[in-house]
Amino acid sequence: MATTSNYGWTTPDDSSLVKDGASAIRTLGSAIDTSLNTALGTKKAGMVLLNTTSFSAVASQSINDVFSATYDNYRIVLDFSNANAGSALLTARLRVSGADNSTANYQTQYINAGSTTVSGARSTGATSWTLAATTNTNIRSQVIADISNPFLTQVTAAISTANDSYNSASQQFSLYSYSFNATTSFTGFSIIASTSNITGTVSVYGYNK
Amino acid sequence: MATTNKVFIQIDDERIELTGADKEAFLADREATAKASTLLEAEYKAKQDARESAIKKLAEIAGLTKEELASIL
Repeated sequence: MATTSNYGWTTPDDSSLVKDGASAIRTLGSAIDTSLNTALGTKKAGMVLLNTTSFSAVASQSINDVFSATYDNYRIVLDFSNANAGSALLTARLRVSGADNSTANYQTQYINAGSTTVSGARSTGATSWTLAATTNTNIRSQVIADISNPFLTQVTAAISTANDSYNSASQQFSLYSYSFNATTSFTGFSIIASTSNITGTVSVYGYNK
Repeated sequence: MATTNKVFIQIDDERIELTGADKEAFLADREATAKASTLLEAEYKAKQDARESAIKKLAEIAGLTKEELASIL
């Protein structure tokens, strides 16, 4: 009898009789069930990819319908480059019903390290969160953010790390904490370049409960 | 119109060119955001500079080094 290469599950031979098909399927199904139960029990994958979107030469990128009741916490992974010369900020806004929320409820605290200089700042009552700051042309930056409770009618909180300008000698590191100080339920977000077009990829993952 | 003057936004996988009032509103909004951010950073830096200066003066009066005074504060 033939078997699969990894787990050795029994499968019918090419010459097996069709009348034995039901039994063969049952045997294979039981073997898979046993193997999966041994490996995982009732555990689920810890993180689930919900959306990956690539964008090119845009002033902003909006992602709709990624936050839902299925998950409370999400990871956003963003890698982008800016097209234009000059200092540029990348900001973010939360989004629902196909529109950005630009009320003055965004709060950001950050600490930034560039070479031996460390600085920090806090903004309250702003209309967006700052995600990253870049300089010069075609500078690439990486942002990894964890966001809690965007869909729930609670204050939304987030933490992100930015590896600014990582393809240049101007590399910087920033650590941000955020809140949206109202209990709005959101289903998506936008990233907005302050002065430059951006090109890159953004992925959103849900943390299983 | 030159390509650099065009403003494109992307919603999910759809890339859209902003024109007319939409474009003007978008540009005004992001300019305001950038200005606000710059002002906040400048304000924070001014506060830090003022604190540094105050620590330096206080250290001179107390006869301590700046580092010694900063460790007490």
